[in-house]
Amino acid sequence: MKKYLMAFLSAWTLGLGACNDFLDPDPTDRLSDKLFWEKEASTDLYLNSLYTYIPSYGNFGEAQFNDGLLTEGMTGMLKYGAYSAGVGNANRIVFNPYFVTADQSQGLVIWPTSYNRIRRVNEFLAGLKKYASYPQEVNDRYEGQARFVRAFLYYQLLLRTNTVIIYDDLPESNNKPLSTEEACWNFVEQDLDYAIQALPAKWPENANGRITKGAAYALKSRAMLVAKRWAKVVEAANAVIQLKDNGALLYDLNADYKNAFKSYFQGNPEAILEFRYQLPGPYHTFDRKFAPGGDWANNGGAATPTQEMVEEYELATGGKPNWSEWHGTTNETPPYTLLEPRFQASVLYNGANWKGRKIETFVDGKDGYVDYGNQALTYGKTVTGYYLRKYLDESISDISTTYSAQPWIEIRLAEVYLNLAEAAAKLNDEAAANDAIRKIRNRVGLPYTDQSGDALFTAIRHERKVELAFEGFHYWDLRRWRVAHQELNNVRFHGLKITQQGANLRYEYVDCDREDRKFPERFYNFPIPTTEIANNVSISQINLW
Amino acid sequence: MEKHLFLIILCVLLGRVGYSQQEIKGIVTDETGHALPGVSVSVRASNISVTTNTEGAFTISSPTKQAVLTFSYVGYKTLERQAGTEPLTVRMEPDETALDEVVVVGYGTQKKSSLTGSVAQVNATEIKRAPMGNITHMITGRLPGLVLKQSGGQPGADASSMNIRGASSFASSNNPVVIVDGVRRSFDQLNPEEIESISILKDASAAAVYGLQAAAGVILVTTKRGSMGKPSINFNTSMAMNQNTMFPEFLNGPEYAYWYNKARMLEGKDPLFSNASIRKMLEGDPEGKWGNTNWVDEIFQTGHSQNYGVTVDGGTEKLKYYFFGGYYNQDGNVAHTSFERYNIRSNINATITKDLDVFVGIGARKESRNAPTFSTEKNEWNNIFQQAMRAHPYLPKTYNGLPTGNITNGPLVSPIAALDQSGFKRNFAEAIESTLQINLKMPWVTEGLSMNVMGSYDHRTAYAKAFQTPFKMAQGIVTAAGISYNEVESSIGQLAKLAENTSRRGFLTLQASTKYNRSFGKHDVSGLLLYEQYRTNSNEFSISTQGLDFLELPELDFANELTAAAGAFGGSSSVVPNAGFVGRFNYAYAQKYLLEISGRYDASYKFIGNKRWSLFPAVSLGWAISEEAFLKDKISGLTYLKLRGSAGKLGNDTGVNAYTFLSTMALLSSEASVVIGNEPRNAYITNALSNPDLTWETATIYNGGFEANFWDQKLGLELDWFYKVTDDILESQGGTFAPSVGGYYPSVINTGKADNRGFELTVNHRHALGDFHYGAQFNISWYRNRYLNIRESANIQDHLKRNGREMNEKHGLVALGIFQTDEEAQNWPSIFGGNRAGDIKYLDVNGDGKLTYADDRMWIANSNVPQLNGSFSMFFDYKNFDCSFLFQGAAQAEYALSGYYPGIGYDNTEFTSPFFQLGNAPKYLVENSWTPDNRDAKYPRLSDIKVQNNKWASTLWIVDGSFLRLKTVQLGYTLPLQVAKRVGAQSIRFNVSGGNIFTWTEFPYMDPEAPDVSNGYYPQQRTWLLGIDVKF
Repeated sequence: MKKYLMAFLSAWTLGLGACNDFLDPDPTDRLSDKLFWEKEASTDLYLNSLYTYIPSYGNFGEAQFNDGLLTEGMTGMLKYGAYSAGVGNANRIVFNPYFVTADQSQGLVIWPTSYNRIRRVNEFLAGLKKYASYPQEVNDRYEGQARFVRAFLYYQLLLRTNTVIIYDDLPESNNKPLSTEEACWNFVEQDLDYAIQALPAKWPENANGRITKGAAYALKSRAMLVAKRWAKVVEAANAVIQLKDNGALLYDLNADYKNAFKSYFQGNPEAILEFRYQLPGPYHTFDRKFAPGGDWANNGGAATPTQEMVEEYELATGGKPNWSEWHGTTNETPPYTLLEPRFQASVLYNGANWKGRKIETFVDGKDGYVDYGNQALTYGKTVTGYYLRKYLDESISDISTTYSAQPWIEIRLAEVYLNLAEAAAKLNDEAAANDAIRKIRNRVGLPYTDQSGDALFTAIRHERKVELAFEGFHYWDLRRWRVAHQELNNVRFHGLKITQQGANLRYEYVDCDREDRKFPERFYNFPIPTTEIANNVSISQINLW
Repeated sequence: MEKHLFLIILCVLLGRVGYSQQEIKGIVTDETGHALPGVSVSVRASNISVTTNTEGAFTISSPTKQAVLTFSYVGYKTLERQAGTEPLTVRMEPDETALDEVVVVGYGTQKKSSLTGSVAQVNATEIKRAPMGNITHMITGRLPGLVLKQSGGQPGADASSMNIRGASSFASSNNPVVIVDGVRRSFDQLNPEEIESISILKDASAAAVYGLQAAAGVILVTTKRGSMGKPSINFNTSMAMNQNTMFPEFLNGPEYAYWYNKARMLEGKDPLFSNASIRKMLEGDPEGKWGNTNWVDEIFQTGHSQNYGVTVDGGTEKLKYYFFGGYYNQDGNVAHTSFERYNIRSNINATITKDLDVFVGIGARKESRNAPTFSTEKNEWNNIFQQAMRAHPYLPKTYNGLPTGNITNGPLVSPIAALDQSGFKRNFAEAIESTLQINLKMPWVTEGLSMNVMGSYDHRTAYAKAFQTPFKMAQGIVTAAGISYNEVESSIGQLAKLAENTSRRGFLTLQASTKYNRSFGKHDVSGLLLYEQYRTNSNEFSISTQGLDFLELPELDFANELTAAAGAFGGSSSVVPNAGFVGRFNYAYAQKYLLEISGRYDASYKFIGNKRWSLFPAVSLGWAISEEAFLKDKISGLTYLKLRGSAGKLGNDTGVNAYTFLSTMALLSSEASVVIGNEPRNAYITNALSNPDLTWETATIYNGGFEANFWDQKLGLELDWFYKVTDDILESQGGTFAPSVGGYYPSVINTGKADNRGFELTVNHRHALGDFHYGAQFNISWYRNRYLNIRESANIQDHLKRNGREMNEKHGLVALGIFQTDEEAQNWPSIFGGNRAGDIKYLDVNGDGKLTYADDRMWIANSNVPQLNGSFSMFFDYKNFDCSFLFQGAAQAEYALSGYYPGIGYDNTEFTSPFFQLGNAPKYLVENSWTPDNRDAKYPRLSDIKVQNNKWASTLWIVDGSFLRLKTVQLGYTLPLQVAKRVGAQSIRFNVSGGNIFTWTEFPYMDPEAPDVSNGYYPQQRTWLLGIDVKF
């Protein structure tokens, strides 16, 4: 019996003694944050998460709209075919501006996601300060990259809402007030200036793809343009253009416009800031959303270029063709093949060569056409008679089984030239402005005569619209120039409906909106989300919302 | 001497007379009709006595013709019967004097009469009054205090959600902890045959011994044990068929054409279907292009289930054994959904020496579930039910040999092909649960002292294999010109996809305890000290691939590549340890005054420092007032009355994620996130901010009640009232921080507070009129909870505040009605502008002349979980017949037809928006939609597109969730023993049972227990079952 007693007693004591160790297992599914500051390879893994923000505000990302919509869909450049929730949001916004509200931001308000990201950047910077013991130069590079990302995030916020809350460190209270517009842009400028001096012009091969000095200069030229700090635009733009490594210029316009969207690391000297994809991951789904309907039955073709945009392109020889014949009904083939290379690289039209076939945008063609407003979704059919070509990857043979991996070029040199042109014109340095425009037009073989005054500004606007078409600029440009309430209000845009008549094709100019678009004054300054107003007692909603 | 001789002669004579005249024969059975051996049978007022043999038969000689026989047996009521000329058949009634009933409590058992806490228990007999199926359905309505809600009917996944006394925490799980044979295990996949009893511990006194996990109550399940006696072999089998309780009827082809045309015309569009087309739907189309298919009916069939069980039980004083093997299978009423389960159990009690007992219990089971690729789970994207609701009824089932389908606002749907051709999802689970318990009495130390060690190891594995096979379909496209078909790939795409994942969990429990139990005169004392630790180790991994060369060989070896989608492979592991000390002390004086003090000093690995260990104490008192001299036998009819009350503290740590006290980082995505240096690379992100101060939720419960018996157990009454305050509720802070803070705050903190109150009342009646025995039970329970402190935004408006309100109320707009004219609509504030006649008119709650969803919604409806629950059950036994039924009712619950999608918000569903997502529409909806010629309509205007204004959660879409349901019915017949014996059996019983037979509710199109967001769900089932029990 003693034996049993001993067994019981030892079970008891075992339990008592073992308790505390027993209750302290090491977590097996997560890692302590300190660990990430012990060596650069780990810190890089942490830093990588900040890089994922860069493409998310662009065409391959989903930050600016909940369905990854292109903002051009709210301009006369591009028409979304759907009008139902999600992929139809662009139409819902342009036809019913009440759709954008402070509590249902429908993606146009990026406030919560962006502030979450800003906090992530600040958390990285705080960790760097607290735990890292790297040489100064290494620390500077980490800080430079993080602050670049922070500036990029603030730029995105300021593009939408004119004044925002600045967090240069981790938040300590719930109730921080808005800063002035001046202070906001100063903050962006400081972060970019820091990045410019801290970051290398070129990273070693095994770190290529990291943010460079050139990217920081280029983003500065873009941000300062929105801030209307013209001299700083010019200064930053020139710095990028002239940036050298080992005596050689780092950036140059790609001789072929259609290759200007390839990776720098595959020989495109125009790409300044890019985010690369590689299957199986990271990947994006741009082709699935925008490829012509014939590529994958019932899919793609979410948004298609308008007739207005097509008419913005010049002939390859310069000057616009006369489109009046196609503003009615005709059997004449439009002069697509005569248009400039940028059209050929950006728009797919009926008869264009695509993946070894000809595009068929006519009614019941392989790609198909459907009148806008007839059905809530288009299932791959165009509502304008065109499809997008820019950014599509023609080498993907089957998009139903393959995701997309073409790089997202957030900043390319052509934009820097256009930033320069606009700022120089504002500073009355018309020579520099004309010079920059000529550079852009030369590349695609278009003639150019120097302009001045309003004509110069018109030329800059046209060039920006065409060169940077579908790249995420146009909507913001129209707002920036304060012309959106004229150009996007009480207007309708058009398409070409093509029908087969025996062996002939009939072209009919069609209203692809079927109701007037609206752009209310308050859209120049998007609202602060209701949740911010509800919880932050130092802030109130901005006027008109 | 002469005198003696005379007496002897007299005796012989009398004896002979008696013998020759009165040899009484008979059979004694138990309450279920099984032969009962060993029953003592005696002639009243004599010393003549015999016992029944193994077949329950007896022969007794009686001196008189009119002998009255007395039958007695331990555990049964003593009966008296008048002997007649026919052989007697005597059915014994179990002596269920509620007071001697033994109730399973935490780490032990207690006599009901000595209970001071609030415990309810249901035993095997009652459980089996429902048709065999999931155990959670079988106990519905039988345990006052247990709220069960069955929100679906998918084979193998139809268990009801359970809570005890409603919700008390608004952040952590309100699911009770389940203990099977002393160990934390689930019980919903046990075969109901294996279960001896289920008790629920409702108040602090009963549950305190489970400390940190007991705040939501405890369910204790005990499996059957062997009993002394000759081995008995019991075979039972049943077969059942299942059909939907309710599902809305959707439009057929011509109806669809009519209503869709009408909807288009109301939107100013041309009609889509011509009269010629409609005629073809009705009369048949020679080209086979138009059809009339009821897709909802097509996917449903009659489901079948079967159950087989064999029990062997018996034993001697030294060794008792119970073996069970069971098989259950269910073919769902949706094709290719099925469930199969094997259960095995072996429970052995051995007495090794007079002081040493050993118990070995091993339970094992194997489950497999089969479903098509397109899910049958509620709310899952493109599930079968959603497809059936979205498929257009004017399509024939096939066209040109291909399954037909149509595109919706979203994917292609083709319900029949989705069931038959899309591949499969198979889930397999195996569990082995083993327990070894050693009990040592230690009278050499002191009388009444014993020690006990228990070790248990459970091992569970789960394995899932999903195979998606591409198929072609004929996509019907309707234009004004007619219908045409395209041959397209289904939404699965062109490549077959194969995914597998597996997980394993090991769960080790150790308990060591000391018990003391002794009476000193009128003083009864008992005590328990126990140490328990348990630990789960788990790991899992998964892989998904695409492109298979042979669809006949769905094996990873034959797959071509990893899927180019997130989560192509993954794996992780975790360790979850817990430990605690339990103590309990009971004292009773003269069985009149009862005291219990119990508690647990408990720890959780989820906390550190002084937050790790805490004490959860409880105290309870009982007063058997009917035993007092001033009451005893003073009130006629009152047999027993006990008052009791308890108070105590319980904990809940289920809402806390592990390691929130550490600053940790997690992988951003399971695949590479960036490309740096031409290589794909991972990225890491910080987890939510650490909160080292985090602690558990604490519930303080006060419970009071009484138990009363009248007229010698004929009427039983039990009432429990409680009040519960839950403090330190883990609140998610997300909604109360400005988004500009970017989520830089601990995601949860202990700031919430809520209370809950309610009562349970049980009324029992049992009676026998000769051979007619019957009983009835009525239960009613009511609970109401409140937020006492919930974090709210600094600038929140009064009408949105939740403090003081009930939990899980629904918020939404207040619908004032439907606009009758465009003018009225335009002059009323609107959220999106552009309102017209037929749209819903909403109240501008804050009266600012503007309507916004954020400001003008308010609390409009109750939670889905009913506050008032009741049941009424009866059973009748007459000779060989028995019958029982149970009605279940619930009230004070409301559900919304509009759905709430986490992260998206409120939106329409199939049930609120005609042609939702371009699908079909339920008939009740279009017929009651507003149109210019149906202005008194219940629902807003008919439209072929989703109308923004009418999508909001509002009072218009709230439906009363009260219902009354005939939950179970059973009719049984036991063959006469003589007949049973002919086939060598001791008893044979047949039964016909039904489940969910009738339901009365306000909204007759959907089951009132349907889940919240109803993007299609597996409907609840009505069951009819035929069962046979044979005992050898």
